[in-house]
Amino acid sequence: MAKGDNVVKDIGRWEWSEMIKKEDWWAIWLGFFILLAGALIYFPQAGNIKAKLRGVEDKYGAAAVRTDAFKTIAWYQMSDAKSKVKALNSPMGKWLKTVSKKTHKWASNPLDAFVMSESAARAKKAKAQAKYDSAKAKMETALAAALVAEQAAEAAGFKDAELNDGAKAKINDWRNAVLMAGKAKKKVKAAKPYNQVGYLIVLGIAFAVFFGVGMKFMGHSFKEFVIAFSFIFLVSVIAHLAASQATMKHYGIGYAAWAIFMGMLISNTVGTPKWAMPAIQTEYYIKTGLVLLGAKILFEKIITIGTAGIFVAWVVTPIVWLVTYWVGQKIIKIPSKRLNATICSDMSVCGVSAAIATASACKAKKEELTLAVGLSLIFTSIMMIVMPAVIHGFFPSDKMEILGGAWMGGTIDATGAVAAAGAFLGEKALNVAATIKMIQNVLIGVMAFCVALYFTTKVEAEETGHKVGLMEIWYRFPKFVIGFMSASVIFSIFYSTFNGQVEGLGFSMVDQGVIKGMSDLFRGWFFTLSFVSIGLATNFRELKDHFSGGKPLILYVFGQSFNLCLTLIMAYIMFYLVFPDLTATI
Amino acid sequence: MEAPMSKTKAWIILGTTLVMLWGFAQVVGPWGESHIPVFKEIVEVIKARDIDSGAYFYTEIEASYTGERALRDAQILKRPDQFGMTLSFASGVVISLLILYFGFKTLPMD
Repeated sequence: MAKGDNVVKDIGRWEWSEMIKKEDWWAIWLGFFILLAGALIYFPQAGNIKAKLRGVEDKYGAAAVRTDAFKTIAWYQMSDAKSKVKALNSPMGKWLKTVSKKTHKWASNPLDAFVMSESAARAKKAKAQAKYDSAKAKMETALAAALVAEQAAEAAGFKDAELNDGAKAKINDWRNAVLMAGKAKKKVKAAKPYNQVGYLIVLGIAFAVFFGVGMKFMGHSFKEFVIAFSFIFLVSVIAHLAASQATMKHYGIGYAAWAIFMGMLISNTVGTPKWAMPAIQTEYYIKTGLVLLGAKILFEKIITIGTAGIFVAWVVTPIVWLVTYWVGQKIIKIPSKRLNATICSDMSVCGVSAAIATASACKAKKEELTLAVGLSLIFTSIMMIVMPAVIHGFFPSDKMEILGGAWMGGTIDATGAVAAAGAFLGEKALNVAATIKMIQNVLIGVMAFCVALYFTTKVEAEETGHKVGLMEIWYRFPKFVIGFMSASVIFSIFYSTFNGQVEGLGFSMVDQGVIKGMSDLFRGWFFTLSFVSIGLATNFRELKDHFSGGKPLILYVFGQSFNLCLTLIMAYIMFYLVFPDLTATI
Repeated sequence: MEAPMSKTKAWIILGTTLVMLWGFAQVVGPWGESHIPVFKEIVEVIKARDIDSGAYFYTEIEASYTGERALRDAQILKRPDQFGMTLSFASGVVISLLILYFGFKTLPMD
């Protein structure tokens, strides 16, 4: 950088009016508005939910823990009954879910995504009911067999290893039958007539007003924004329509990929209409979505996976991030530090959501986020198929589920693909894989904070050519990160406080209340709006420039290969050499 | 500066892309499902268990909650002394934070 008095220094200045004029602050206000509304809707039900959970404990508690030789039938029944106690089952929760629903699943007729007639629903229900009746009969038979085996084991005081193993096997069969019957029942319940068109129109208008208010305060025209928003929302609906197609679901191609693709397809062919430009507000939507995302970064959840899992999810991930970033800068020589950081996060933490958080925290360009997300989506689809095949073919059978599950949970980027690959290997693999991924998800907040601090204090200081003091850090720091972290801390406290009153209350009130019944309903839409905006403002040629000689691809492949090796080694050491006792409980 | 694309060409490209997507959804994709080794079984599991394999975050997957509950309850039942914020667990968290602190402090700037 040139030196001298004529150099323009980009020095941040703090003004209180920023709090109503900057999108970072509006993201915080809007995000917290939704979270507060969720708390007001669901938290008053705490007394009722608590009583229900206590009722479940009274009914099954004593019978559930009469042995630690294996998990008894009553233990599972208590667990099932507790998981059905959800704050979002209230009438308001059900209404919110219906109104905010994205398109329905469809296979060959796209209209099925929006409308289902009474007669079509009846036919679907009849088909589903027959399957449910058969699954229910199998479940009852399996339960009867499990009860006989458990009684035999109990008669021997749970001390006969052979009888215990026999009971365990029968209970496992019953659990598989319960799972299948549960899924079949869900399909019967879901076979109802619907017409989503009216709700989508209402939702579009509500979002336009919701974001339009902030736009007005930020000095833009409310009317122009609302008109423009109709186009962005329409493309978002089309993106969800594509994502809800059966084949696309099987390949794990989610709404983010479709939103970017549809946006880019329009902007690079027929062009983005000029009148739609005022609603292309990528940062505004993304940051509001991220504040909502913060609410589900619940720190108590990390305890779930136990000591072995924390080393796999929380120790390997930062090492992979830092080493890959270093290699990207020093060896591969990625021209953009922001692209490097975004790729490191989506590859090592948890794909799209980590990429969004990091890109916003380090102020990456929209093309850089698109590139990182694209790489993650391609490799996720490949790994979802290849990893279970490798594990199935090469892992010893006694370690396939736990070691394989931990390996996939720690390396496959997207949660959905992790679940699909884990379920293929079995129940334990699914549980371990999904939980490891969940714990990694919690790391997003910590990583985003570190990245924001690093770029504010070091990278931006170097770019602007002057050292930043404490106040300067505050001026430059992306403020939405504060909203993101605050939401995480506040809801972690709520979660732990509820769990402190009755075990499982946090799950019922926070997980299955404010988060799934409020913030999650809107967060997915906000991310879709932001990805559509990215696509509509991206030129294929600009994207090609960022790909510079395939360096991002090389970086991703290096990082993911390193991640695969380190995660496998760490999972083996922790689950089988250091903590085998804990592994035996799974 | 490159000349803008003609309207006819733009609409033809848009239409062709959408037709190709339709072809993937209805023909190529289902063919791949039944011909790519292991994928057929994975698709069957996805269908049977109604998994949204395109989900990005743990709250979008039911298995995150069932898995969490299963692992948590199993540890409480069988090894309650080793569940929660034990010394070894806390050391894992501390090591992670130390790696982040020293790692970000020493990242290269050039």
